[in-house]
Amino acid sequence: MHGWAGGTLKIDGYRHGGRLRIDAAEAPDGSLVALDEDGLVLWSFAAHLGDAVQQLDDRGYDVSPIFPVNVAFSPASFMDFAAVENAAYVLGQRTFILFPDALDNVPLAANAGVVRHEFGHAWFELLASGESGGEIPWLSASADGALAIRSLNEGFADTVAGLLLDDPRFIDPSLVLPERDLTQDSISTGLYPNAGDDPLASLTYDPYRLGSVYAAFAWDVREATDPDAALALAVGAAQAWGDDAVWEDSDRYVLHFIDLADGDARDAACASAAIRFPHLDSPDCP
Amino acid sequence: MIWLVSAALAAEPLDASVGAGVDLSALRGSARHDVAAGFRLWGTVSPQPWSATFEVAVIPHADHSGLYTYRTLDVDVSAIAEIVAAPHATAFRAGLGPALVVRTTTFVSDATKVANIGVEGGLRARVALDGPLGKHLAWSWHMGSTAHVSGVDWDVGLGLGVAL
Repeated sequence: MHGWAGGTLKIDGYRHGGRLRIDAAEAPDGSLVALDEDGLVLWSFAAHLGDAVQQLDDRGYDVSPIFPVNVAFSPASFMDFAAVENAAYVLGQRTFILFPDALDNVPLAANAGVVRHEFGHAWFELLASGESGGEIPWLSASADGALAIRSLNEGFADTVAGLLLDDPRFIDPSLVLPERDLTQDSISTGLYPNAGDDPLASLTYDPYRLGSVYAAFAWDVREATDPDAALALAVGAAQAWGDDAVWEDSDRYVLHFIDLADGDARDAACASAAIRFPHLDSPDCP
Repeated sequence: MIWLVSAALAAEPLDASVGAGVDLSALRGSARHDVAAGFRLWGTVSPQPWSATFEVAVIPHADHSGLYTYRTLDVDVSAIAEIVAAPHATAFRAGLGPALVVRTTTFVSDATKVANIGVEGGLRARVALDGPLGKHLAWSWHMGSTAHVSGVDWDVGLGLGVAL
């Protein structure tokens, strides 16, 4: 992992700033304590990321192709990330970006859920495209398709965070967002981007709403089984969705999820899909 | 430093001043500089064309969020040997000397409170203008930079003191 202060984030890549070095002092118990808040944010981010990777490694998932990654601290960007995000992962650029001053009153030290969510994006890219960094294959999708894929990507990231922490409200310690609660009764109807939407509607489309339905669907299966079983199905579904390369259809992820499930997981997935994705007709469900 | 103190104690009759002032500092952090206001005490003895200035700067700073507060208190102590140019009542000083940079941090949340302290040696450079203000008072303006293990801090300040 390489940490950089500032720099510039552009479409074609990240021009890094100076190297980050965390100022720290040794506490009486031998641990190192950051001597400024930025250091605390960076240290907690690195620690949570390390924990997440270890968790996945323990479960037999190989996420090594994602590394090495850049961590860009408050880069300049033409995109106004800081208005809506305090952390993000840039697909195709193997780069995490942190905006510690974004959002009033949000705790700045990155928390376990936020980091796992962002790492979920990196993992989604690896699973669906077969590689980390480089050109994103679904960039060829239509505008609506691209928005639906963003939703699926957000949903998969929430799924990873929720299941690794086994907490459906994984984001609450950082930001109280009831709409991201994985136990909510959300359905996908009316949340898809429409081809008829005007350009402004596309720009203001909220990918988290549909994403939360994908994540809640996976959580329904977790409640009937266990976090590892649900995660394995989500991973397999993301991989199969990427193998299909039918980028316009993000719901194929749900169908693959059901197809891969069996026993209690299959029953739960079918029951959940019938409620949350009522327009889907899975050949694997009664 | 011992030489400077000895020289100062032996210097008589030397122009001298002591005072206090406000500072604006850019303090080096892990990722960027934080700007913070503080105050500074100084004392100068001036056997022209040389002088020695001793400084103690205190800079409190706090970052707040919804769940915690991160307080830092920087205390910088320095002794600077300077060259003086004083064609008139106002003197220009430029110098270099050792510095001790002490940062205490306190992380406070509902669940925990963690305090710590870091101490680093460094080198301070500064330029200053000062002069008499009436019969007994003195004014001072300075701009300085302190290089220490963690990075480089910058400061500018204005002060009021007593001419001795």
